[in-house]
Amino acid sequence: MNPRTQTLLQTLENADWFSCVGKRDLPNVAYVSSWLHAAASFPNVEWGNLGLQRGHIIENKASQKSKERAQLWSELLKEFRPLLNEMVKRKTETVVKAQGLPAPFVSNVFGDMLGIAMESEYSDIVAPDFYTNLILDAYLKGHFPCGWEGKYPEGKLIVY
Amino acid sequence: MKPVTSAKLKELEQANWFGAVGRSRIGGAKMVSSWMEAVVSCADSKWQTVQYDAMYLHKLAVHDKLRRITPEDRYRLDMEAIRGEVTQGNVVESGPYLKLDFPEWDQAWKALQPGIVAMVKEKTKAVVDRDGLPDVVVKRATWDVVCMAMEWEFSEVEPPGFYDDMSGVYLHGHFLCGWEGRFPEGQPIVY
Repeated sequence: MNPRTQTLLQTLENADWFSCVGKRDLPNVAYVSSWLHAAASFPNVEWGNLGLQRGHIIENKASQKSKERAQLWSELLKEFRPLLNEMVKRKTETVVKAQGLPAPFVSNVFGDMLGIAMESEYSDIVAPDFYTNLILDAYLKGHFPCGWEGKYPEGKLIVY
Repeated sequence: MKPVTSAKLKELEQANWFGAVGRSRIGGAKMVSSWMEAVVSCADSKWQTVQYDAMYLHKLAVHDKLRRITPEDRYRLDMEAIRGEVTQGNVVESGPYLKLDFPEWDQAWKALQPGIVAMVKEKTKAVVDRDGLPDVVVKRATWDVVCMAMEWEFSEVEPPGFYDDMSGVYLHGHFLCGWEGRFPEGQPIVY
């Protein structure tokens, strides 16, 4: 793992996750008004596909820039999975209990963290975009990103 | 609207919608225990696919009865349609949705839908407002009731099936929010 990703994960670890849900304090986003409304996004295929597609784009761009670096993709995923799994469990435990959030919520957060970490790993050769500028930003500011309003890249991130 | 459809919709209109969620059980169903679980389940596209499959299979049965298409003819027609798609280089979906020209069905759907949309909105409003439910709940319930009404409307042609069976869920104050298993095997998920 790159030191910049280590620093980033530490920043995420120190952040107060979901502390600002319900507040409307971010510019240029759309909001849902409750965990119940956010829950409708957990199994949403379009939202899930957008995240997967952005991940594939990072991998493809990395492969165009450096074959050697791109070959490390699977190794990095293997390294990140247990670490992030542990972090996500720990950081979501309280809200899961308090709000009765189901397993797909934790899976979605895990997918977001994996995207953030991978984008950071390749940020020296692929310009940070979706995961760093939008998803990471939402988590660090205490919100939960849960959808996209419009047709990406037009439109807005939906957060709770 | 046929008298049977009107009578059945009246029954639904008089029911206490969502009045038993989280309290009683429905036999032969997997119960969930909160609106949170119900919302996540009903928002899943897998449930939407089952909802659509159930409607399409009934529509096809009604169509074939009205047009006197035997099961053998249906098989042959489907195979011809699939071959046609493949010859044109189109991707054939794995679902059963082949194009079905069925204006009687479409007209009945168009005639029934607006009244049902209004009825479901009215019947769900109190709980939606009280519990802050997202739109997807009303959307899924509206689809269910439109499909029930379509089954009743064509009941002289084909006995009502899946959606008629599911009407009891709403009549007993519950919400149909998913399907466990590989449809038509399996069981409904109900809150």
